[in-house]
Amino acid sequence: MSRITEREVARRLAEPPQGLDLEPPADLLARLKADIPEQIEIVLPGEARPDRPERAIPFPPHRADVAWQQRRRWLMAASVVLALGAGLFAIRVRQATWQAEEVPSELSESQKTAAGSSAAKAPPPPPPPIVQSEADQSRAPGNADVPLARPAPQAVSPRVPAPQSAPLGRRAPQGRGSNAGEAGRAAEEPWGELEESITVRPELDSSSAATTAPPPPPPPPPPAPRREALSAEARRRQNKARQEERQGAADRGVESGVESGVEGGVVGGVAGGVPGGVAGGSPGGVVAQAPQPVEIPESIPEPEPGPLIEATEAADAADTGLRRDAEGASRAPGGHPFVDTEEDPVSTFGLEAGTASWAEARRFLDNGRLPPPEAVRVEEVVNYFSAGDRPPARGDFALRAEGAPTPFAGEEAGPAGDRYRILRFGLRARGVQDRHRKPATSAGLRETVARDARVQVEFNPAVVARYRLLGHEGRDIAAADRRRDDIAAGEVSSGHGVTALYEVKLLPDVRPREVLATLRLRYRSAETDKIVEVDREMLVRDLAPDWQAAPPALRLAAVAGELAEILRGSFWAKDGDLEEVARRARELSGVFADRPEGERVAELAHLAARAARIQRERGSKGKP
Amino acid sequence: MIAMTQMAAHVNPSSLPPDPGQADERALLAAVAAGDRQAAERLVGQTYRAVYALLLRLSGDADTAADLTQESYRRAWAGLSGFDGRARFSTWLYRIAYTTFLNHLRRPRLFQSLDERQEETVPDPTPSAEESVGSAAAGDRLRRAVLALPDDLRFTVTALYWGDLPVREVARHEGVTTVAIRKRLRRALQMLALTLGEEAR
Repeated sequence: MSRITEREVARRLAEPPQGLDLEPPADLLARLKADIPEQIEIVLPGEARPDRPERAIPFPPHRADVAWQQRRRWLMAASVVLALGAGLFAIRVRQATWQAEEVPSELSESQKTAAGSSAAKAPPPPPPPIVQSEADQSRAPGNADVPLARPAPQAVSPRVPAPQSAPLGRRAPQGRGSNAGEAGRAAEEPWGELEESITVRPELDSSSAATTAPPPPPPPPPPAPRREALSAEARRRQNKARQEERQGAADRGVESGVESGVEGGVVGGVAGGVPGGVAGGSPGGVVAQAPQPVEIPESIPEPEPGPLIEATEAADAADTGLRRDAEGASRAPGGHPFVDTEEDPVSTFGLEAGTASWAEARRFLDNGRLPPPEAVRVEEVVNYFSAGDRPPARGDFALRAEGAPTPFAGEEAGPAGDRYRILRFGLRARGVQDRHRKPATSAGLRETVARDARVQVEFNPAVVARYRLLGHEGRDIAAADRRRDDIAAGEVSSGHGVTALYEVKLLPDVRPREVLATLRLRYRSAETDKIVEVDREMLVRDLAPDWQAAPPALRLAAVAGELAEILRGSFWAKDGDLEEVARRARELSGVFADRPEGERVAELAHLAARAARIQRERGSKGKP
Repeated sequence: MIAMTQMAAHVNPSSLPPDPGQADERALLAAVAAGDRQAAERLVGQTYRAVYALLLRLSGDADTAADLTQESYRRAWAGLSGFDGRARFSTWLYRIAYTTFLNHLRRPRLFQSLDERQEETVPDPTPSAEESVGSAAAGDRLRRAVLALPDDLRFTVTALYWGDLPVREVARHEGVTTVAIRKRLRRALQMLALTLGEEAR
């Protein structure tokens, strides 16, 4: 029995191999030189890299930072209250002193004075509405950190009800809390009761607010969130006639949405602050704060028929694009239809995506056959080939949003094909080792980061005409169920990551600073047991200008998604070309050659080429 | 090369003198970018011996190593636009050669899932009866034992000992500290000692 030491192993590793000549064959150098291509694409280190734009959207401020910012605002407001209170107290003391000095016959006069002082306790009248200019409106969504419409913390009214139809975290302009908050609890809050949390976004109920906001504007205008005001503004640019018809609703949206966004968010939230919240708040702000579902007047003409709409109908004739049955049409291999953003700007996708489907597809391809369409799940293939997003520097999740022109827009896209973009949304939970913790045990390796986690993507109707989610057929949540807490809530383990791909069609002439989409994640933190909401806004200018400039992770996901859609027989990939996919996969294998994902990308290139060959040999085109 | 490798594995990288080869690499890359084919040939001439030696040690077969060297350079030329200069060109090239070899290993069965690859595609380190004598067989056992290591340890060992890369370069490429690389190396040596010791019983 012998024992080998580490030193001995190191010595053996370092010594030249026995029986092997390390000198290369004589002709190897000539072969290598002959392989040098005529043109070599290269970007020198240190130079600007057009293919690697730093388009990572910064992570939202850390919870501690948010808490401090909100605490600071609260302290400022409290200081104002104290100053006002001290002033009023001084006035009353002085009046009492005067009363003592006055003759009893003047007692009634002093009562009048006291009444006057009571009136002085009432909040100052709300400032006149501030009309935001178009430029301001366009800038506002681009600045994620501006507390324009971010609600104040719930220092005054910890729990306020929200309208049942309010989508997750819809950033309606809001003022400081008011007495309205006492009118009800969060029973109707779409995602369940909100714990007081630094990222909780209270929604105010317009009906309860009306009881404390004299005078209620008759009739109650349909309040519009900030996005709706923006969408109205963008539509004005596109279609004058449509704008005329919607003028009433748009005006109300601008008045109640944008103006109160300024008034409620800034004036009410900071300067008015607690006084507004305690003593009645701002009528204009309160009335406009309740976000309502987008209501499209019947008078709005249907979108002009185009090739895409026809294609949509062909893809799923029974599907209106919005009210699809999660158990029905979307299970079909054809893929999700495009959804009109005006009809339903909010989309969801599952946080769990296995990779078993790809293993199955690979087995078929290895055996020289194309996999059966129903065996291919697009989201699983996309996630198998997802290039790992980095874990968050702080917080529980890193959110990533990337986009670029899609090279796979089919012929059905028609002349508007250049307005199609492929978007990648990535979520990555922090790993166990990302924080200083106790030594990980085997049980601790799969620590649960979040419970009741759910994710939403909200597209801006002023920028995105329509969108579709790649894959996730049969797993999407019916619109009515999205806000229920017991539907599709999942646990997220440490280190877990998920990628979702969307194909979107942009409206013409969108401005770079407009918000394209907002990715939202809401979960209950395993550490604090509080509900936390994080979001990430993606601007138009965050889109890569062309495919070559797109982040490699996006290109990889898009190529994998296209391959899966072709294999699945998706309607949207009926014109897909496996040779083209194989060519782009081969390109990517070079890009990823030195990265940990390199092996998988090489696998993708290999199998895409194999699928193309099988298809070619079969002589069939388009469908497996 | 052996002496350099041993030094590289045990010398504090921060005390290493500036690498004159890196400036030379950059100059050659600049020339390649300008379309100078001779510069590309010089780049190949400077690096191909190390690439071949690595692949020979990994594969244990001269013909295979030559073919894989060719394939590695083809992939390198195709992927040069993805070279970000984070590590040296030779380090980047090493990683490509290493990945090319791993892909070669998996080729006979084509592609299994990563989970099942480890045990199914890496050769069994246990020697056969014919291999139990001779130094060549010992070298082959060592190679198989290295290939049976977990991926991060395998990469570290081969990069430091067979790829002739300094600790600092490996750390930079892997995005970890040099201390982490040394810890990996130590774990790898421990595992190799255990495996080879059990074989020798």
